[in-house]
Amino acid sequence: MPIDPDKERQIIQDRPPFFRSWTGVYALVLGFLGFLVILFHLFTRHYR
Amino acid sequence: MSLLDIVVLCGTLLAIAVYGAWKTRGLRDLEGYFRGDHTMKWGTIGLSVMATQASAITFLSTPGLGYEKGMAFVQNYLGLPIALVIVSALFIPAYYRFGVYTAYEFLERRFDLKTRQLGAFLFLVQRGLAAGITIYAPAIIISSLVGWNLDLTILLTGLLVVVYTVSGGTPAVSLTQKHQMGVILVGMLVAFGLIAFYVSQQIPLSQALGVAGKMGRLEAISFSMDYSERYTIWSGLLGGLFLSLSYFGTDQSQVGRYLTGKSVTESRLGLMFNAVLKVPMQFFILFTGVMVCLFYQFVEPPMLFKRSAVQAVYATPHAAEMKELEARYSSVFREKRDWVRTLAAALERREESAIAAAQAVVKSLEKRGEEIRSEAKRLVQQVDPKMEVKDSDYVFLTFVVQHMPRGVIGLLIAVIFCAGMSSTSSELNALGSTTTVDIYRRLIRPKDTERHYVIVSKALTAFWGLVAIAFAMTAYLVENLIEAVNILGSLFYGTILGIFLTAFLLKRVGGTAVFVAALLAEGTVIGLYFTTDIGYLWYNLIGCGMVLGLGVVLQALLPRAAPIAPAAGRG
Repeated sequence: MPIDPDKERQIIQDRPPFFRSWTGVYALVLGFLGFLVILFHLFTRHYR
Repeated sequence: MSLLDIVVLCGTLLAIAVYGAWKTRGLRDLEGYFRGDHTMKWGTIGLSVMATQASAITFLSTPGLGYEKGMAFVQNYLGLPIALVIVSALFIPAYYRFGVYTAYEFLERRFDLKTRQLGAFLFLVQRGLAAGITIYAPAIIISSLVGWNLDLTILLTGLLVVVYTVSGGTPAVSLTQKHQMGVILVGMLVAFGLIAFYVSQQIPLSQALGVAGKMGRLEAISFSMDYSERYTIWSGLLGGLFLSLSYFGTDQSQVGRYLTGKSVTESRLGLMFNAVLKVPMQFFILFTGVMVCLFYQFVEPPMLFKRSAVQAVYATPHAAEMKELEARYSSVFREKRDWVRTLAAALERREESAIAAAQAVVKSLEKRGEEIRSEAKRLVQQVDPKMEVKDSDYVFLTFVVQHMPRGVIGLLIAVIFCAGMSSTSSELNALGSTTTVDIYRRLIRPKDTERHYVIVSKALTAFWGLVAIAFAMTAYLVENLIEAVNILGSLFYGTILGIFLTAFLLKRVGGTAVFVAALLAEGTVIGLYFTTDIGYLWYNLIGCGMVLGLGVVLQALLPRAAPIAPAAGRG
C-alpha cells in the first residue's frame, strides 16, 4: 500500500486553529490537566 | 412508569434511531460505510468519541460509586488527557499516512500479517464480550426497577441499535451519537439541578457539602503510595494513561470514530475536545452520586437498592428476619438523620469540638447501617446463593424512579439507553469493520467489488449484534459493572498497546519478535489475574512493558529484523 503524496503533504502541513503548532495545543491541554489536579487537591483539603 | 414517561422514552430513542438510519441510507462503498467519506468535523468526532466511551454503565455505576465511596474514582481518568495527546501526536498521523480502515491494518504495514491478525483477534475477543455487557447493563437494572421483562428489554434495545448500525454504518453511528450525547448532557444537567434543589430543601447547599466532606465523600485526590489502594493519583496517571492510550489509540471502536475526520486537524481537535472535557464530566457524574448520598441522609433510602433481592427473601420463611432488619435499619437511619443535622449546625457555627463529636457519631451510625445491610445481603444469599447482592449500580435509578417528577423519569431512562446504544453501535461497527477488513477481505476474498464488501460488512455487523444480544441474555452480573468492563479491557489492552508502541518507538524490532513477545505477555497477564490481587489498571502497564522489553530481547536473539515500512512520524 503506497503512501499517497497528497496525504503526506496534508499531514506535514497540518496546523491547529489559533496556534502555530500542535505543541502549543498539547501544552495548553496538559496545563489544564495540571490545573484540575491542583483544583481537586484544594477541594479535597477544604472539605476533609 | 407513567404514560408521559413512556412517550418521552420511546419517542427519544426511536426518533434518534430512525433519523440516523434515514439520513445515512444508500451507502455503496467501504469508504462511505466505514469512514463516512472523511466528511466529519471536530465537533461530531468529539461527541462521537465521548459517546462511545460513556456507556450506560458510566451513568449507572459512576453515580453509585460517588454515593458509596465518594469522588476518588475521578483519579482513574487523570491519565486520559495525556493519552489523547500521545494518540493525537503519534497514532493519528500514522493511520492517515497509510489510509487504513482499521488500526490493525497498520500492524501489517509495520510488521507482518500474523501480528495484524493477532491484534485483530485480541480486539474481537475482548470487544465481542464487552458489547454483550454494554447491552446487558442498562437492561438488567432498568427492567428490575420498572418491572419490564429482562430478555425483551435486551432484545428490543439490542435490535434497535443493530438496525441503524447495519443500515448506515459509521456515518449513522456518528450522527446518532451526536444527538444521543445531547440528550445525555441535558438529562444529567436536569437531574443534577433537581437533586441539588431537593437537598437544599433540607439544609443549605454549603452546609450539605460540609457534611459530605466530613463523611469522607469529597476526597478527590489521594497521594498515597500504597499499591493496594484502588484509586490514587499514581495509579490514575500511570495505569489510567496506559488504559486510555490503548483504548483510544488501538481499539477500533474509537479509532473508527476519529478516522472519519475531514482532515488530520479535525480528528485531532475531536480528541482534544475530549482531553479537556472528559475529566470534568466524570467529576460531575460522581458529584451527582454524592448529592444523591446527601439526599438520602434526610430521606430514608431502601435498605437494599436491589428491590428484587428483598422481595426474594419476603417470599420465603425468612421474611420475618428481613422485616426485623429493615426495622433496625430505619431506626439507625432516623438517629443518623438527627446527627447529620447536628453536624450541619456545628459546621455552620464552626465549633470544632462539636463538629468532631457529631462526625464521629455519624460515621459510627453509618458503619452500623452498613453492618445491617451486610446482614441483609447475607440473608439474600442464604435464600438464593446465585443472586448478586452488590447494589451500588441501582442507587441512581432507584432515586430517579422514586423521587423524580413525571416526564423527567422517562428522560433519564432515555439517557441511560442512549448511552448504552451509542457505545454498542460503535462496538458493533468496529467489530464489523475489523472482521470485514482484517479477516474477510484480507484472508478469504481479497478481490471483489465494493458493493460486495458493503453487503458482507452489513452481514457481519448484524452477526456481531446477534452475538452481543445472545451474550447479554445469558450474562451474569459481575461485581460492579463499570469495573467488569475495565477489568476485561485491562486484560488485553496492555498487550495490544505494547504491539503498537513497539511499532512506533522500537524500529529495529520485527514481526516475529513482537508476535512471540505479545503471546508471552498475554499469558503472563492472564496468569497474574488468576493468581494475584494486583489492581487491574496495572495489567495495562505490565502487558505493555513486557511486549516492549521481550520484543527487544527476542529481536536480539533472532537472526535479523524484518524489513521495516516507512515509520509513523509526527505530523
